[in-house]
Amino acid sequence: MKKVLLIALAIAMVVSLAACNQTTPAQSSEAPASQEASQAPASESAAAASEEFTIGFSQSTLTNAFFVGMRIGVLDEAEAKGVKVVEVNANGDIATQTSQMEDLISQGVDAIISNPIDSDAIVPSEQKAVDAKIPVIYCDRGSSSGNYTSFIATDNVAMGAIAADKIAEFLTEKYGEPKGNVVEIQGLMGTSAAKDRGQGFNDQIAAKYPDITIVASQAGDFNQETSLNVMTNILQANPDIDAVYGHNDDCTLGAAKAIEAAGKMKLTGEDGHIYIIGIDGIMDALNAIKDGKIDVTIAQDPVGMGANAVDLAVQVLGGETVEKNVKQPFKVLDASNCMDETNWAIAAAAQMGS
Amino acid sequence: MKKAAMVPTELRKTSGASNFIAKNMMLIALIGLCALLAILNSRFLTVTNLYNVLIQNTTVGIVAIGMTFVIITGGIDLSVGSVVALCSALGAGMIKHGGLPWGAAFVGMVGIGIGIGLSQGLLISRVKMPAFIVTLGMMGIARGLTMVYLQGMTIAGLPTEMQFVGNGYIGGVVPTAVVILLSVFIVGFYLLKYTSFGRALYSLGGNREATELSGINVKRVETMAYTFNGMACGIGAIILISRLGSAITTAGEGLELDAIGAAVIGGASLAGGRGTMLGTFIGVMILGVLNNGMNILNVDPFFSDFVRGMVIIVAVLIDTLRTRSEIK
Repeated sequence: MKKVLLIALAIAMVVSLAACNQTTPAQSSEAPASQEASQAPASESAAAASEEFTIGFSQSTLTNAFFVGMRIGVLDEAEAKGVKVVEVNANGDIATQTSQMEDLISQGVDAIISNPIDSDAIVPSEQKAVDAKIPVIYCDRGSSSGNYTSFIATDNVAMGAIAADKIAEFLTEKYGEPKGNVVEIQGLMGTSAAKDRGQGFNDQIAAKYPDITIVASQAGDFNQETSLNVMTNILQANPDIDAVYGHNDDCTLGAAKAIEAAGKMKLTGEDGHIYIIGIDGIMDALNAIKDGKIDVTIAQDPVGMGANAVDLAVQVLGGETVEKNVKQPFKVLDASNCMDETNWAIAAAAQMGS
Repeated sequence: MKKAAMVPTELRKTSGASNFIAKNMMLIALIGLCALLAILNSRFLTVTNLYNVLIQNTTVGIVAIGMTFVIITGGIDLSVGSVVALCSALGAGMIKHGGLPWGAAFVGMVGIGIGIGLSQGLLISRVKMPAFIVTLGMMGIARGLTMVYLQGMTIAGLPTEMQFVGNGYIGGVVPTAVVILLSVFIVGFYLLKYTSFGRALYSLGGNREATELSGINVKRVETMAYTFNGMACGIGAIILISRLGSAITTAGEGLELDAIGAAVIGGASLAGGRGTMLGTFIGVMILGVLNNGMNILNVDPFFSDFVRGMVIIVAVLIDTLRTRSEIK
């Protein structure tokens, strides 16, 4: 009897999980559908006026605000340019993305904008597009083959260097010259983002600011909890810290919490304030800048990246040659502009309704 | 598990003495590590820093206590990191979106942890699914649900009073989180040492068939071990969101390795039947002091992973050599 109950329980669990599984993609595919419907009239009328181009947009996921921002950029720019967009979302699954790419090719889209889940796994479907003479433009993540038409991404090395310049600027304000003790909270070791953001920062400090000492470089793993612990330990070893550079906003948010927990938090403008500079521009970081706990986040611009990808596609379809590797500009956000509606995190939050 | 089951009972009895030595070996290692760090950096051995080490390791410590229960039965729980993430996400959601007072949300979080632990325990003990597979599956399920629920965002801006639990000090002196850790530790210590449930856990891990034959409800004991571990995950999640003031998608990543590592360093055997609360506590502290020390000394992060891994391997090596000599 008990056994029967237990088996029933297990089955119920599996069924409920399966149900969960089904609702998730359904929900996320619903949103794009209604979005398309609402803008369809606009793009149709515009398309009637100009040439009729259809762009396939293959997205890796929409569970991250960054990619929601990219989608906003693509859709808005397509509407402005009078281009039709067929969008698909792989929900983080490589196999799904491959078959979706193939579907786009067989539908005969004029160009494909893609954010690959994996830069190796995308190569076979990219080859099919190339064979079908469909230009492929990658956004944020590229492919390892090099057969694509264009690849647009943010320059992580440059962002690291700008972070060094910003810290030097703050320290010059404080001491009259760029000097002081700086902590670097690194990202997840082994990722290209952590490597490039670290390299850009360290090279710039070494080359331009000999009096700035990096007293500690420890891994915060792009994780708030780890960064909180690591920064707490670093504060223990180094009581006199002037500034913190984090490889992303989770690193700096964790560091800010450590400074707060240690009773050393002084807001921007107060005496003894520790300058904190991060990268990415997520909502929590924008709020922390508004509150004066963090000074700067160097924001990537996924909205602009999506828009530029559409522009590149239109240029290619118009017969122009485009750069193979395009660097997407980034924005330095501080208290003066952190709450601008054009910031990707704010635009994405509005879109996601949270 | 098979190997331990083959060891005759008399031999297992004599292992008490060597077990004692091994336990002290890790304590000696911990003291030695602290002494070394104190010599290398004068800022290591201060009250603030020792509190730092304790506070930083409250979540992993509490989860390691639950993990020890599971490991003693000869099982494993790979889902703890994801369960902590799910409990913290849902708890933060209850406060932020559900409008629940944080105390009520905390109870809910422990409830979710218990529910997950119980269902895993039932699948493992009654349906006889391998613990590795059940908890590996739950690792994915709980992390996935967390991602779906949070949609890649964090839930921030939780009530500031809540931070008393994670960052506050009782009477301005003793960190609240440390008091919670020690309370769970004492409960675990009492259960293992002074209750028939604790004795049944060891017996089950040592020899399942014999335990079953002696009339102990093995399935119930095993289920309770996973349920206790689920509860520990809920409590760990409470401390985590109270410290961060937010729930994050990456919460508890890699926590299962730290918890298993701590238990194993503390003398728990993955073969089952062995493990103590004091040992696990020492294991947590060794890993915690290592992390803290490497940050303070600014050791290259690539190298710190290596050191952590080496410590676990060496501890297990000692454990394996000892078990082998016992069998001979």
